Amino acid sequence: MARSSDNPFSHKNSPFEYPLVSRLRRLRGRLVLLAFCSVVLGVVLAFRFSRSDLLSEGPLHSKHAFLTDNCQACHVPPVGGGHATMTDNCMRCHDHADGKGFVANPQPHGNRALVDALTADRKAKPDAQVRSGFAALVNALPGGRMHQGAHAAIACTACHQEHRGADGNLIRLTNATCQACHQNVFESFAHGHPEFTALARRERSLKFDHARHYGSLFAKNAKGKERIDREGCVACHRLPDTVEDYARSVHPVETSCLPCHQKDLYSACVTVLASQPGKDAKAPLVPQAGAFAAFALSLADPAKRPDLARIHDDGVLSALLPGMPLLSGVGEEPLAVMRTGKNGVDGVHTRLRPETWTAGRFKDDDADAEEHADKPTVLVYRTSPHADRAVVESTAWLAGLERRLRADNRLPSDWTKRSLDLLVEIGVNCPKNETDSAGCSKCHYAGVTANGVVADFARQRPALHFTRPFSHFVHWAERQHVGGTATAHGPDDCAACHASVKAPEGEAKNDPRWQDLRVHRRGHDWKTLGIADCRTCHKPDTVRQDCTTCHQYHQGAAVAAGR
Amino acid sequence: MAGWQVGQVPGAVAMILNYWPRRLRGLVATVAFVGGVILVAAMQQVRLQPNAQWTGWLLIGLFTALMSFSLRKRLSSLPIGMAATWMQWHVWMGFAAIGIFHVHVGWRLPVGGFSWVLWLLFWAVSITGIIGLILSRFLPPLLRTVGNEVIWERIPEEVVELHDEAAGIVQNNLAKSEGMVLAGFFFDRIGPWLRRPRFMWLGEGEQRIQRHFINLSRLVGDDLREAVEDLEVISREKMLLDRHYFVQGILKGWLFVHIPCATAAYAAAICHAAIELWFRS
Repeated sequence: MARSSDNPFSHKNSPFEYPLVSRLRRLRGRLVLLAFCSVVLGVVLAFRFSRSDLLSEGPLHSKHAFLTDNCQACHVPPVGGGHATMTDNCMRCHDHADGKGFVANPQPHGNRALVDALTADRKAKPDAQVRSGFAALVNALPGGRMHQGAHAAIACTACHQEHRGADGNLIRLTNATCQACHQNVFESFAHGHPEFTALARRERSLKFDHARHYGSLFAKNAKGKERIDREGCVACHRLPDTVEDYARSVHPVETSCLPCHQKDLYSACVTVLASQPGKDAKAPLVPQAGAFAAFALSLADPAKRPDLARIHDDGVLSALLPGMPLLSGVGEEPLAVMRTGKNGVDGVHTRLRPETWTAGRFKDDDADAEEHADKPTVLVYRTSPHADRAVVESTAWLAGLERRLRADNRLPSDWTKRSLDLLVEIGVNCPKNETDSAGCSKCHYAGVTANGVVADFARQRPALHFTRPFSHFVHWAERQHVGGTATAHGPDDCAACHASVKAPEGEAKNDPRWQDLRVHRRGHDWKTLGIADCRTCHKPDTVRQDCTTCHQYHQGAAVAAGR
Repeated sequence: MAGWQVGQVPGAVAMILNYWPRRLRGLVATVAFVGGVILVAAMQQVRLQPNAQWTGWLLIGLFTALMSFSLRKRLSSLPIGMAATWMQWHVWMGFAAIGIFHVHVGWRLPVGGFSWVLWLLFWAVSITGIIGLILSRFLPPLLRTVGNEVIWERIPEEVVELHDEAAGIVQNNLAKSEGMVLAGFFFDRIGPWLRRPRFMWLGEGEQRIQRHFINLSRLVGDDLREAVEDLEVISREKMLLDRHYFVQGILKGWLFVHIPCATAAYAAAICHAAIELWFRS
């Protein structure tokens, strides 16, 4: 398109000297190159000068803020990281099963062995309860279930998401993730959640009769009534600070029971040995405690049985029967002075001559024995009024011995009778009349059941399932959470959830509910909380009802140890 | 494809099946693909398995496939399918990428600085792509109303030819009595306008041009009447070229935003993947 520059009609000044396509493509190409280079250069510069700020996926949680400039504290270094994982790095700080807030026991609910034991039969035989929904579908797929093997690993990051900001939510646990393992898949807390009574009913250690106390006993005792009216439930109950404290939900006996029941406590005299003058002094009466001791001694390995002539020496008894306390005393004064150590009785200083013990005979060589020469001589152990250490240790030792014998399949056929006789003898149990029982069993559950000896005064029996500590509902924490004011979860509103049932009418001992309470350790005098109680508030569109509201994955040291 | 008989299926569905079979297939395939990804991600979440990595690699693959559409247009001579087919794949994969991007991010807003850059770039690409898709559906019918089909890249040359033709008409009539009047009109009124294409619709330009030429016809004699009419025809053709230039310019101009944003997003995604691999998180 030739044009002369001096021609006023020429198109010489047109900007379209070059083909439009070429110019546009060149312009677009430059823009693309500029965009690409800008991003790459920006990333390189950020990585060089401020990588933790700009390249980070987001600020760390405030509790991890001190690691902001130390990426490799959590992230595995690209060189020299070995086979370590990010979970390994997490556990470098969090492997503290201390039972308090910093717990990070990585095992499912703190105890892999317990979980495996509980789920072993489920794997072989699916639960007959409702199984539906998406989680159930996923579980049914090959490889769908979590925790399949004992070594299945779950990365911390599966549930804990970092780089969500200083106040971001570190936990990403949905109902569906919980139901990956829990086969009883249900729609929600409001629909299908198992009833609490089937899971969370806890065996009681006290035969405390709430209805009777509130119905009549408190009214008869002005001091008790005044205290109950003033303090309410917390007069006896304490509000646990943590889940781990739930086992100690009642104040010590000195503050909860003894203010009213001081006179009801008395010492028991446990007969150890007895001789009857005029009869065969060489064949003393051997009461149950002594008989059981002899019986227990007979169960000991003969090869390990010590020289009974040296039984008074330090350490002989504890070596023979580890942990077995010695019940020994006479009249109003102790006949024997026990020296107890960490491992039970370390020795005995007694006026019983070892040779008479070994021969199964009793000879009183006390200087004052002449005064009693014509009377039966009874050697007794006089217990303290409450929580006698020797009695408590004896029952614990008895249960432990039974477990060992049962495990070794050496439990004698007459074990039950003998152990029950021993409990009667030491005043723990009185099987003749349940309602009029005396001694320890008046308030404590003690006896011989199908499962063996039951007399666990020292500590509450742990739940087989982790239902109780599994729930992190803490009354005290709930109250603090709302600024110390009484709420539906606070102590002032105990009765809002815990309602008493009426006292039984007629013959109490025939009431199956009281049979439950006294024999089967089921506390029916105080209404067990049901799921319906919680659903009055925790329902859709009102109060949250997801799994993590009440349940927690990580458990403390007590649960992890199976205690 | 045999059409559906109206009456067998509801009217709206019949219309979709009859007139949009390709779109329907693409829509169903995309929804099924994204739904499958969401389903697998939910299953993985139930299994406490991470979703970020595999969805990230899936996104990188999708980005690469989407970027290859630009190369396909440059390599038009290669027998690798019709451009229209590529365009359909590009559109539906783009929509799929939007869904998978949210699965990857976790249905939340980003927190970190670089994450925000990635998020904004992705949405810039997505929004410009959707806008381009809408424009490509609504502007071509507008061009049909303009008529006078012309290739956008040839518009400047067409304009130059019109300018030169108009200049030739003026030059040829300079010797006539009102020739200078015609030349003045050319230099003052239509010459600058004819010199280059204008990026405007000129909605009121038609009346203005008509008014100019009515005034011009009053000033010149009958001997220049034919030249004036020729110039008016040239001006109207220029006005139509401007409309083509405007509409087609929009159709091509959005790519000046879309493609650089896509390139930046792709580069950022590659850097993001490299950083993630570097930290093995």
